[in-house]
Amino acid sequence: MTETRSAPPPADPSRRWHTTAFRWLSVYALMFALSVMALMGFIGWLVTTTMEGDTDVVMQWQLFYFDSVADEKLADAIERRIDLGQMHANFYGLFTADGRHIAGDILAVPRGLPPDRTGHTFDRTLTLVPGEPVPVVRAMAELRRNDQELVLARDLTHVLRIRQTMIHALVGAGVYCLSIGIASGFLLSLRQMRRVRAIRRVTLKIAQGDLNQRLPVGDRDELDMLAQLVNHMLDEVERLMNEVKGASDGIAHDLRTPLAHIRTLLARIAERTGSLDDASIKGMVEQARTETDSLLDRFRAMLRISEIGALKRRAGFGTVDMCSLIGELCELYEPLAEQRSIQWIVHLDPVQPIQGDRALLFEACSNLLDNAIKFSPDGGMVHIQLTQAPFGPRLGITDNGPGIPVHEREAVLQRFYRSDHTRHISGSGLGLGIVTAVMRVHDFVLRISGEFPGTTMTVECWPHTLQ
Amino acid sequence: MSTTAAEPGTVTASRVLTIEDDRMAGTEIIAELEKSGFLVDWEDDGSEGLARAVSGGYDVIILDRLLPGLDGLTILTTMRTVGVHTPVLMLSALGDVDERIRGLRAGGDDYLTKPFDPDELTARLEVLLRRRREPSAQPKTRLSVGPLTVDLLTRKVTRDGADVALLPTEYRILEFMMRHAGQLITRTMLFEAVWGYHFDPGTNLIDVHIGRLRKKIDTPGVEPLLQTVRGSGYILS
Repeated sequence: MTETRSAPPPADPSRRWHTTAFRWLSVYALMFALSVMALMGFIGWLVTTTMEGDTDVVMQWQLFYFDSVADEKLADAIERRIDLGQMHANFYGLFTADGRHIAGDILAVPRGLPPDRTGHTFDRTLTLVPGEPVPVVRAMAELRRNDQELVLARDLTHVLRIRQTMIHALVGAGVYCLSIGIASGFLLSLRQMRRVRAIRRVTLKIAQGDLNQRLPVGDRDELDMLAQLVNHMLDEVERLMNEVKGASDGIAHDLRTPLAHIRTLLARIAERTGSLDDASIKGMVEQARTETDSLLDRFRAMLRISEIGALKRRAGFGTVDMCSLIGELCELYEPLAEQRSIQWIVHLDPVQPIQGDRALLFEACSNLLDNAIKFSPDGGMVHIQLTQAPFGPRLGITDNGPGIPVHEREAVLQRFYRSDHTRHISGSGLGLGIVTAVMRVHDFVLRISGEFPGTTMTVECWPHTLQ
Repeated sequence: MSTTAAEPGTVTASRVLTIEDDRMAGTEIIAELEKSGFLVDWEDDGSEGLARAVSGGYDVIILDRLLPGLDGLTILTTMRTVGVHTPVLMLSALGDVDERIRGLRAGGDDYLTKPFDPDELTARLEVLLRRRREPSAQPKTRLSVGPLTVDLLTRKVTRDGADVALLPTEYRILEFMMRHAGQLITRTMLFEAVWGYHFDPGTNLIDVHIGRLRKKIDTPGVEPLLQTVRGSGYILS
């Protein structure tokens, strides 16, 4: 076998950043973290707006209360409320139309607060009496009937604290998800890479010619499925390689013998050209010619098998009546049987027509009949039987030759196989190879059975893989 | 075998054009054909070959299927389209039945798969030449070779006036041999013509059929008509 230089191996697959598992898990973790953050953000936003709305309602109720207080008593009412307010949750301020402070703990009208009884948030910009810490507040203002402006504000610190907690939770959860995702992606990719590396190692060995190697299988995942597919392919390749090897051995064995004969004959002729008489030279040349013919026959059969094997399409297919085809064949071979006093028993039932290539089927069956006659002893018997089986016609050809031992039955279907006790019978050893090739084109099956000695070749003329 | 070419009646040597790009095969064909008394011209390029084929003057053309310049099938169809009806024997490494049918459908008269026996080529050329020399304008109803006569209508076979009873297959073999009397008929040619299949059935099979026929027409004591040419085929004369 010639060693062909293989293409440079693909880039080192151990670069972890490139493993699919890692990449997908990272993307997945990122997406998950982002969506968790978005969800938390939405919840935070919802909580804040709800609480701000609640605060606004409380302040509006207070404004309603102040509305019921007469203008001249308002300042007192405000002071009283401030005194009552223990928690400093609320702030009040009453201002003249031009913004002067009249009463309350808010000392200046907050900038940008329209007096339209709507809530606005002020982030520590409120002007309060000195000594008070300035919190984030929700403020609301209204104009009194006497043009004074009443400002209410309510501490938002507790709302903010909730929001703060939410933000912390948000960031924490995001970081947690991301890191868990990346870590597990890393671990998974490590594991996956170990398997890929193992596969790579084995593949390299196979590429170097060690066809006994098989990819490791175990986990029932997609990588495993691929590995099993490749293993199946390797089985097939190994089988074919063995077949080719068998063929090469066959060639070596079967072709070397006639070649050696020819060589000997030629050498003898060359040595004794002067001393030999014409008749014996002629005899030797004739013998050499016969040997050459047998060599040529063998090569022709080999080419024929390749040709049939290359037939992928079914262009030559048509309706074939096996009964007439076998009838024709029996007529063709009957004289050959008669010549060797072989009893020729033909039993043909009418059968359903089949789809096939008539010429190829004729060729295949002629090989079977030829074999049956060839391997039968003089005065033996060949029995040809065509019957209708449930799925299609079945052709059985039985001879009483030496037979094929059970353990050799698989092997005889390969090219060049000659059973050891038939080596003395002439032939290319390729007849069954042609039959097998034709069977493969038709998806028919050839079975070998029969008592040893004696062989029955059965051709089942219906597609087998479709069932 | 030169016996076939030096057949009586061949006044002038037949001119053969070989269009074949393989130098080895070409040389071999020419040597073989010249030995058999043909005048051979050789062309190894498709388009040149077509030009020569069309210019005429050849009795038969040997055309390789795969050629540089112009494909064998194209040459054949072009020739036939412009009205050149010189018999063409196609040579091809493609022995598949489909390929054979394509070759014959394009206007080829015979199809031979490489590698072939030189005798096979000569024998087939002779058949093509004979067909050209004797255009069967009026269909014959009787064929005779020496004392042997075949009535094509009644399928009756007689030798020296005595009936010879033949089986259908034997009759078909004899009819083919009679139609090509005096020519070398190879086993493959016979198998193709009588049974209509194109694979090699093994030498022995056809020999047995010929043997049966011979037993009936060449009875002991009379001069044998059906001769075996060792290693090649048979001649009826």
